[in-house]
Amino acid sequence: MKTALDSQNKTLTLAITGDLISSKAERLRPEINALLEPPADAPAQWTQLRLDLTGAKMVDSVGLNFIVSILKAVQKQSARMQILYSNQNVYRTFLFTRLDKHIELVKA
Amino acid sequence: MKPCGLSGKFSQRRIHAQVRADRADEEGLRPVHLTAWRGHCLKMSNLLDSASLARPRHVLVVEDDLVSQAFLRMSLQKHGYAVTPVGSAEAAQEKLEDHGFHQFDCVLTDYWMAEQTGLELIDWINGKDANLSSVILTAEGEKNIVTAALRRGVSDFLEKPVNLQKLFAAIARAVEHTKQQREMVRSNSAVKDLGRAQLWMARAAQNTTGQLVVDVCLYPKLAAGGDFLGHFQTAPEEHCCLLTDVSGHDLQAAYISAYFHGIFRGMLQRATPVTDIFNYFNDFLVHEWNQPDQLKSTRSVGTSLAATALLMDSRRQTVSVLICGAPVPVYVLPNGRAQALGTDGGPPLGWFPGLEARTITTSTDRGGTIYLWTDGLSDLAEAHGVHPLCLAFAIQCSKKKCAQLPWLDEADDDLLFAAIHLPSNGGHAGGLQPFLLENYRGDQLGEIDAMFETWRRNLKCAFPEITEASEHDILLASREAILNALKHGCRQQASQTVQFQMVYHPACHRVRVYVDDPGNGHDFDFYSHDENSGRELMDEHRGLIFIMHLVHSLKFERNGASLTLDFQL
Repeated sequence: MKTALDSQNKTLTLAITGDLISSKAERLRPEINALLEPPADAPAQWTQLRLDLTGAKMVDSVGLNFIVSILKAVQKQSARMQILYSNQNVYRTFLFTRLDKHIELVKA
Repeated sequence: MKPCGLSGKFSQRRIHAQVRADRADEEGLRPVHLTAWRGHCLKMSNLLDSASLARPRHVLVVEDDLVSQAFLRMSLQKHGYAVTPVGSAEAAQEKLEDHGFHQFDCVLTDYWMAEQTGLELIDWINGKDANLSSVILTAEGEKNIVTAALRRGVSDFLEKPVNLQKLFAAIARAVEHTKQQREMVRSNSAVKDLGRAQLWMARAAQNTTGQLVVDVCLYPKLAAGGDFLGHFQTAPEEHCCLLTDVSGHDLQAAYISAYFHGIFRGMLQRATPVTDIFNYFNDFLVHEWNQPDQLKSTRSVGTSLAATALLMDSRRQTVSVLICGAPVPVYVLPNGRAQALGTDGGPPLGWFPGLEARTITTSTDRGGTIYLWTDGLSDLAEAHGVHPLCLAFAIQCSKKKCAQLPWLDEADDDLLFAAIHLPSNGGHAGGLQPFLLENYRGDQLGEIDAMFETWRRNLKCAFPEITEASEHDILLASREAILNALKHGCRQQASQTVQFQMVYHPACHRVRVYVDDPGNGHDFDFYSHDENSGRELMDEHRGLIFIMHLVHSLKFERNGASLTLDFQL
């Protein structure tokens, strides 16, 4: 996973390599949790989180739960969340799980 | 079956020893068995050789210098050769055409002749009969001609003036070379004939006898091999299928396989129990064929024979199976659900005295199809990470398109598989064909990615032109179903097992996936849960929601502990 902070736009980008499936979600969880932990004594450096899934051809239920857990952490910080995708099957998954009602989906 | 260091060749010493042994047989010293029969064949072959040796070897001498021609003719005749002398390449061509190439054993030709050179003549001969050897005469030091001659397949060359000892040696080598080449052609032709006979017999097994339909695919590695299938009726409502696979894929393997089929059929027709027949042949291999004195000169290790016998009783609607060293057949019900027919029956025949395998009888009252195959198919499937049934399916699909699966070229063993379609009340089963059968232990959750890759490989093998969307949906729904079955159905316990099957439904062009776990299923209202979970971002049971939206149709049984997922291709 690659991370990048755009200070000007206050956007934190998390780019996931490949599919977001159960085995990968379990591996990424501690790293993401640490990143999303709000700083104790300073304001957050970002107000928008962009999850880059352009490398993914599949997102399974555990991967989706992982996205939901990120969303909840982002909402806790009163920030917004955006998902960047390129694969139509991934987009279909977001639609039938109604994720599009909660997160802005942007086609790359 | 792959050979384990078999040479498969008979040495000359072995032949003589065998002939002596056969004489003892003929004098009634011991009963004539397979070894004796093999000796008779060899003896017959020796006799044929003797007959051809009785004719003097015939040399066509092509020399335009009449003095040299006479010298060569007389020298060779004195040495026991029949000689036809001619004075030009054209005359030589006429002789060969008129008398036939097979009447000559060697051509001895001068290089420098008036109209055509000796090399041009040899080129012409090679174009007509490459097995007829030739020797060319050159002047001393004509290295370029010698080099060109050797490149064009001339057996030998002699420099003028001719040394008689060298002449006789060169002619003897050329004559022997012609003989060997012709024998090789005859042997190849005989092997091809045998291969054709095997294919014919396999096709003969592939017929409709009564209500039974048998489909057979046989791909011997060489022209003939040791994999074989026989199918015959033993009583008005009883059929038998015998599948055999002999170690090695040479003529000896083909011979042993055919011999066993003959014995099996004969003894079975006389109501001998199948286990007794297998026992009898095991004893024969262990105590006679594979005895060290037999092995010394023919094979470094013994011959073994893997076999599966199926006895199908249409009246009782049962099938009895006996397996020795062969892959366990699969019985597929009309709905495509599959089960192994029996268990691994122990080693093949020929390894150890005594037979471990026992006959297992299964009810077939619902009709369906039995698939059986030899380990050549299993080995090739394993090399490509797919199930043998998937490979068989891909081969059949290619065959329907009049093509051959490229993987077949990589096979290092004979391949044979057969589908026996059993009658059911409404006729034959609809042809639902399983292409992947797996069992997963409850503690294998960490291997989900490896399982996933296995499904992907099998799907790609069975349906090379599958769309990305179909592949995605089948793989993702299967992943969700297995994750759910391992986590909740098996509670990740090693003692619990999930059954996973992928089946093709040709009538609807659908892939069906069966997932069965030993749990009690769930007790929530799935459809209201789907609505709520989307609205409120609930984590629970999201896998089932995935499945529901990815399939063409979904069937829950046992509260969801058994899932049937259908996908339109």
